[in-house]
Amino acid sequence: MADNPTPEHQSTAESGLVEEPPQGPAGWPAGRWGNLLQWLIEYRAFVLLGLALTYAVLFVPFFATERNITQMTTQFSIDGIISIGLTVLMIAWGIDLGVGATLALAGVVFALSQDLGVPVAALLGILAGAGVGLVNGFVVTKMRVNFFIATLSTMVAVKGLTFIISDETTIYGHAEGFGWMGSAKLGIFEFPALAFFAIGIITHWIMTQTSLGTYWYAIGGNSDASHRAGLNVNLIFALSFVVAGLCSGIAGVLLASRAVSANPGVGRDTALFAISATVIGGTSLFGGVGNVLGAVAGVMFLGVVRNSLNLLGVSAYWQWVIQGVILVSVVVSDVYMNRRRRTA
Amino acid sequence: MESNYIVEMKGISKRFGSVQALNQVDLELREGEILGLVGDNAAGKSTLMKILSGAHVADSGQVLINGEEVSIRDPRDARACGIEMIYQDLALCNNLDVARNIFLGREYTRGLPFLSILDKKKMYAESAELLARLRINISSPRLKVERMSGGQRQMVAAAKAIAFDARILLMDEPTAALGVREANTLLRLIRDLRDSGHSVVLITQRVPDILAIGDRVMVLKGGRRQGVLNVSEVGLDDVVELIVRGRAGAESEEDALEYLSFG
Repeated sequence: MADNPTPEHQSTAESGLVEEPPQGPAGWPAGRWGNLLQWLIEYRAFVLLGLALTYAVLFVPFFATERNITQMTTQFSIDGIISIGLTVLMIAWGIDLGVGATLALAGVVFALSQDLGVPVAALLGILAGAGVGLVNGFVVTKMRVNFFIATLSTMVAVKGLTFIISDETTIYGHAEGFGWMGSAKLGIFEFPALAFFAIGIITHWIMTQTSLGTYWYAIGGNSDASHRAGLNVNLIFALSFVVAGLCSGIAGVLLASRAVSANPGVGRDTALFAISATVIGGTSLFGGVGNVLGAVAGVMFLGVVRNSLNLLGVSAYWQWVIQGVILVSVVVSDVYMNRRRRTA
Repeated sequence: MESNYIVEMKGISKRFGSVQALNQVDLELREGEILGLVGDNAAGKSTLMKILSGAHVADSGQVLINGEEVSIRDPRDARACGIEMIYQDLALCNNLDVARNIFLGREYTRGLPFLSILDKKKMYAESAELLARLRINISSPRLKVERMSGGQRQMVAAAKAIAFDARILLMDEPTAALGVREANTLLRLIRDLRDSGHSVVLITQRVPDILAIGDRVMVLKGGRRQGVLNVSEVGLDDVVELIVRGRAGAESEEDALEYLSFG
C-alpha cells in the first residue's frame, strides 16, 4: 500500500468547502488595531502603572518623597504578596475569597507563639496560612466542592477560629525582634517590599521555568487534557491553594510584625485588593492565562492609586467607589478577551 | 495470522445507562497497518477506541496486546502499552505553546526532584525536529496553540501522540474539521506513520479517506461489528452498503444513495 498515490480529497472539494487560511491567528480582530488592542489588554498593568506613576509624580504633592515611597511600597507589598499567591491559584482556575481571614489567623498564630522565639513563631504563622490552603485544596479536590463555596466557608471558620484563639483582643508583640521584619530597611525599601519583589521574582521563575509552573497553566487551560496527559490534576490544583495560603501566611506575619501586634479583625478588604490587582495584572478569571510580573505591576498600580488618593485627601468611601470601578472595567475586558479566546 | 495482531479486542461490551453502546465487539489490528473504523453516528466507534485508550472501561471483554492480555483502566495504562489516542477534541492546552503541549507530563527536566527545572532548550529543539520530521508546517514550537488553525492543531496533537514512540495510534475523526489541503497533508502524515511501523486505527466518516490510505476497514453499526473488508478488494459502494444496511441489509436504497453522495 506504500505506493498509494497522494490521497485526493474529493469529498470536501465536491461539497464546496473553502480551504481555511494556513495560519489564521484565530479569534482576534484583524489588522494593526487588533494587535494594538491585544497588546494593550495583555500588558494593561504596566501601561496603567506608567500612567498612574506619571500623574502622581507630576501632580500629587509629597508623592515623590522618600518617606512616602517607603510607606507606600510597604503598604502595597503586604497585600501584594497575597496577589502573587492568588495569581498562581487563578492561573490554575481557582480562587480564594478567604485570603483576608487567613492573613489575620497567621498574624495571631505568630503573636501567640512569639515566646518560642520570633523565627519559630514566624514559621508557625506561615504554616498556619499554608494549612488553611491545604484544607481548601482538600475540600475542593477531594470533596468536590465548588471553590467559591469552599473558600467562603473556610473563611468564616478561620475567622471564628482566629477570634477564639486570640480571645477577641489584639495581641502585642513583646518578644525581642518581633517588629524586625516589618521595619528593617535597605535603601528606601523596607523588608516587606523587598520580600514582595523577591517572592514575585521567585514565583515568576517557578511559573515559567519549572514543570510545576507549566502544570498550573495546563490544568487551568484544559484540565481534561491535562488528565489525559497523565497529570495528577487534583494534586496540582490542591497545591495552588496551598501556595495562596502560604502567601497569605507570609503577609499575615509581616503585617503583625510591622504593627508590632496582631489584630484578629484585620484583612477585611484584603481579598478585594488582591483579586483586583491580580486581574489588572492580566490574570484571567477563567483560568490558564496570567503572569506573575503583571500581578506585581497590578499591585503597584493599585498601590500608587490608593496612595495618591490619600495624599489628595479623597475620602475612603470615594476610594472604594474608584477601586470598584477599576475592578469592574478590568473584569469586563477579561470577559471580552475570554469570549474571543473561546471562540477561537 | 493470529501472531501478527498487535491489538486484539474480544467481546467488548459497554452500556451507558439504557443505551448499549457496544455489543460483543471484536477488533483486530495488525502490526503496521491502517485500519479504518467506520459507521454511522452512534455506531460505537469512539466508544470502542476510548476503551482501548483507557478513557472508558469496558463492562466486559478482553484486550490483548501482542497476544498478551492487558488491563487498561486509565490513560496511563494505555500509554504504558504503547497506545496513544488523538481525541476528536484534540486534548490540547490552547494556552500553552507547541513544545509544552507535546511534552506535557513528560517534560525533560534537570535539577531538584521536587522542583524540576524544564530543559526548555532540549524540548524546543526536539519539538522543532519532530515537526520537521513529520513535515508539519508550523513555524516555531514556541507558538501558542490558541493562535493556530484547525489543521495545525491537529498536527500538534499527532506530533504529541507519536513523540514518545507510541506503536499504536488511535485517531478519532482527524480530518473532520479540516479543509481540503490540510486534510490531505494529515492523511499523508498518517500514511508516513504507518510506513515507519506504526499501527493506526483511523475513525472516520469519510470513507474515501480510508480507501485512499487504509489497508482494511471495519464497519460498526448499532454497537455491533458488521464486517472487515480489505481495502484493495472493495470499492466505496461495498463499504457504504455495509455501513447503511449492515449484514442484514435492512434499510432502504435511499439511505445508501444519501451516504454515497455525502461521501
